Amino acid sequence: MSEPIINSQKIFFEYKNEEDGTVFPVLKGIDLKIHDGEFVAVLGHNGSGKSTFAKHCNAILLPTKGDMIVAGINTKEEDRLFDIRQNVGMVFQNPDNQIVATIVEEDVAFALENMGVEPAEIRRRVDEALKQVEMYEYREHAPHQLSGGQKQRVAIAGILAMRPRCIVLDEPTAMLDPKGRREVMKTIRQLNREHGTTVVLITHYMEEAAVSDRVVVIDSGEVLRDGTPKEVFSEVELLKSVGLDVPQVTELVYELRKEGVQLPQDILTEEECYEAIKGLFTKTV
Amino acid sequence: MLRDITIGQYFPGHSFLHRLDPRVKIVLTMIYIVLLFFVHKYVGFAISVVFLGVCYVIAKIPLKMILRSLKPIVPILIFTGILNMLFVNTGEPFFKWGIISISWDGINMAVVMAIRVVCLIAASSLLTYTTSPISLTDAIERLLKPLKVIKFPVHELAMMMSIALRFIPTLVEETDKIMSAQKARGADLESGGLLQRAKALVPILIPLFISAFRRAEELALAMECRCYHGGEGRTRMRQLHMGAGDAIAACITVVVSGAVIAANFLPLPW
Repeated sequence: MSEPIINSQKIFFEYKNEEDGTVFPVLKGIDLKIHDGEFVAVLGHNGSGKSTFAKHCNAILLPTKGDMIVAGINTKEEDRLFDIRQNVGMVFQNPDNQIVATIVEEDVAFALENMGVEPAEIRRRVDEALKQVEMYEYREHAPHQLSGGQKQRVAIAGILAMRPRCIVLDEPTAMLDPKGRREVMKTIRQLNREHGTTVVLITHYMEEAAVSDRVVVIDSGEVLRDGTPKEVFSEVELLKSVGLDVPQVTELVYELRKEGVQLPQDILTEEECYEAIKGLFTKTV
Repeated sequence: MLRDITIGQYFPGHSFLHRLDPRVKIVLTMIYIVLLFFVHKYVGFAISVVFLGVCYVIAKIPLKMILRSLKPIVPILIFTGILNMLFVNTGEPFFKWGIISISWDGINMAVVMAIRVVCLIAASSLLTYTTSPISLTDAIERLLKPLKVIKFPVHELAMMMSIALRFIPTLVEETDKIMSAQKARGADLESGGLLQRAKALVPILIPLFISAFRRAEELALAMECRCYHGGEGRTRMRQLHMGAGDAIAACITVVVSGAVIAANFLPLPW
């Protein structure tokens, strides 16, 4: 296998309280390899360290111990900071606080302008990025005229314009309404499926994690589970013990199994669930 | 109520004036304003007023908009008019009552100043009506570029202006929300004297400031993630191009200026 795009080698991170010198460890030896083209969901409840981990992916934070190798570059190499950030883009929770310019297309161009790309090339890449997130018709709008989901898609386009190999999204849907959430999730899935962009999605919505290829559960700064959604969500009790919910469908199947109904545990989608339950009825009749 | 605020009073359109290069527009507006102070004859004023009027017609700005932009300066006009009439005492007196004497020169001066101020405001409003705030910022950045030599932070200034423009609607919305939240908690924002009302603003301003700081921090982080490192080595997607239209506009302004200055030397009493 080729070299992973994100390669965290037993990284530790701690916050230090400057006043009394107490140390608050956040990451405790996270060891994770993410390869090109993967769609990884990182799950964890509040304070588990998942956002802190995300911030290590493009050198916003540096590990206090261990090495973080991003696109073959150690994040400790300060003079290659911009190489790292071009390879791994980051989208944050609040779309309002990520948009810099007063016009959508100007905002998407922001990163490219910083990188000193030729104007004609900027134009091309901006149009391309806006088409990828399906916001091309809105290119001349002002950000405050857009809905939350649209703003977040503009923020994603702003990152895509850099043509990163990997895009890290830190709870991108947390501040959106259900409609905006669906729009953003659709965009993220398309990016991964159709354009082959590596996606790292930090979330605490189980339904979002269920559509990924790989789920990593982080709890108190450690990787608790790492596997396909089917594998991870089948461990209902373990997830509940660390304060996480499972998708509703899995929950239903879990409760039914507890009551002695013969159902497979690895059901993830509503359709699968429907078929399985229907199958039960036709068997008994 | 807060939603109605429009900054820069941009009046969207696609007229000839809207499409001019913003740099050209700024420079021409400045020339026009300077010109206003060189005019001494009423013929000159007539030409300048007609020229400005024609520009407004070309830009398709309704008369209502001009009047609205002139409304706030009416008190200033009246005040300076009275001062001019009272204190310019040269020439033959037109009216005399005790120590108050009003001369023809004084009235003349008052009228001239009024025309100048009205034209000045109308001309600069025309600039903001036909140029979006973002192109204005862009143009200012480019016009001031030579000042970089003396270490004037041109790029930073332009960046601050555009971020401020970007966040005005966001913060207005936020203020609305905070006001509702405080009202729901029983805050009384509408009654009482001036001092009491000013005091009532404190619970609105404090949350607003805190959130503005938080936003600033997040924005800075997001900008760093997009490789922002100041103005050095930065390119721009939108390039400003001066075209034939700009040349025509510049020529017309020069011709009009010439005519206005020439009018000063005409052997006419007015």
